[in-house]
Amino acid sequence: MKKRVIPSILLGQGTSCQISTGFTPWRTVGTLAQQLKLHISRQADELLILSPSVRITKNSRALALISREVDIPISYAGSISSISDAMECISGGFEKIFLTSLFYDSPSSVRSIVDVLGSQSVGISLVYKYYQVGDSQEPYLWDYRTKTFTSVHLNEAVNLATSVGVGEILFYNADLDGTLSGLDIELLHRLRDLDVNVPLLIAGGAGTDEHFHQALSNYKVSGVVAASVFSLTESTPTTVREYCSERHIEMRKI
Amino acid sequence: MKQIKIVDFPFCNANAIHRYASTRNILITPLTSDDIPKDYEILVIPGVGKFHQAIDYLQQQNLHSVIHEYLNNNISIGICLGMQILLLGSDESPDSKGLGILKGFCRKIPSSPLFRIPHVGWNSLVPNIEHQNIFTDHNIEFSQSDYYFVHSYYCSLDDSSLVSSSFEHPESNLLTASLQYENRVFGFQFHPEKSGKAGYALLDHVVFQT
Repeated sequence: MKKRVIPSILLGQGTSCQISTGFTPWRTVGTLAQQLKLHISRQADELLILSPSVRITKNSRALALISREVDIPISYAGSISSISDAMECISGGFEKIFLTSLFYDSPSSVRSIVDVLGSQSVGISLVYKYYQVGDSQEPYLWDYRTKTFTSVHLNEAVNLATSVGVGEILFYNADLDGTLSGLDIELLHRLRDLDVNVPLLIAGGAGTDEHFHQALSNYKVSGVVAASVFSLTESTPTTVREYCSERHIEMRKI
Repeated sequence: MKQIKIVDFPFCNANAIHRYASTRNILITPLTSDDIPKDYEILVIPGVGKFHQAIDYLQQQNLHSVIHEYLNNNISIGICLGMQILLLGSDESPDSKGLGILKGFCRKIPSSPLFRIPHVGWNSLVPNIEHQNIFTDHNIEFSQSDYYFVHSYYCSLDDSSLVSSSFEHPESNLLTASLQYENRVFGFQFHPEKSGKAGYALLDHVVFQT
């Protein structure tokens, strides 16, 4: 299986797109049409649309643009709270949905969605930060709505996510989001000991081609999700692919 | 002028097929139980979801017999679950009978530390070089490309000569990635409609050159 480079697109008002730092949007980087064209022309393997405040619905302008422009896989995350919301996203043109809030609030509802759509169409995005516990820093889920820690350790969240049958897990480090300072090395170490057999993605902090290489060298990591690096640096999905291929990471043949 | 008849599953992402058709100026309309196959029509059975949902929908819409008519006479393309329902059944939904056009069952992909399930992402094809099929001509650009997969079950066919390409599994060796029956019925476990230029080239080949 080839490793994936997945640009994420954060939707703001209408079809404007933003980048964030620490889960707070800070800069507009163009329109959705521009972003889609850019990432596809740069040979992204997959796209992830994030719309935390307003859910994309069947008749939205954003969905019309996606249907018109996209011939690669595209996933969606944002404000999905029911089976009908989830079905609307899939029938509207997305391959997969990623759930976060619903997983925090009602894991059994995630199970119900998996039962209808199949595990391959449902992923979980686990947003986390490190918390000082005694002498060590431990990763705990972080609720981006209230901007507070939850009491759920990341290992516990992974066990719960796999028990409800999701088909992919995205680990999103909120502190590293938008920093370009590198992906979570500590998490990469921890993943080696994690007993989980669904594809794992990692997000937060990618700033250079080498950062992608570090993460994708870990055999448990299937892909890297990133946004700011593709707007603020010269890295593109194409340069990442070439860099990683030259270092013997199996990347997609175009 | 080619036209596409699509099985319009409500839980399925058919937009990508509509996009392909629009880029090729092909008229695409939903299949209905009253349709009569015309020789310029191509049947497309897409599919996301579970095996029994697809079969239940065909029953609710009374599409079984018309689908058989198309599969027996027209170029037909089954994609992902749309390919799996061509078989007799699936471990995913043991109580649902498949269309049974081809002998075989859908099995769960064996779990392995080196192969994550669902099988999600881009993977290479291994053409079945023992039998002539659309992937054995290496001059064709699409035979060398990677394609996008997203599934947990695979087609285990009784007649292995129907397998046109496979993907590698670390323990089970090769599992079906695509099938070809009588140069008329084409099944793709991966999503050509979501596999960029190579996927579109593959669809073009089936739609315009078979």
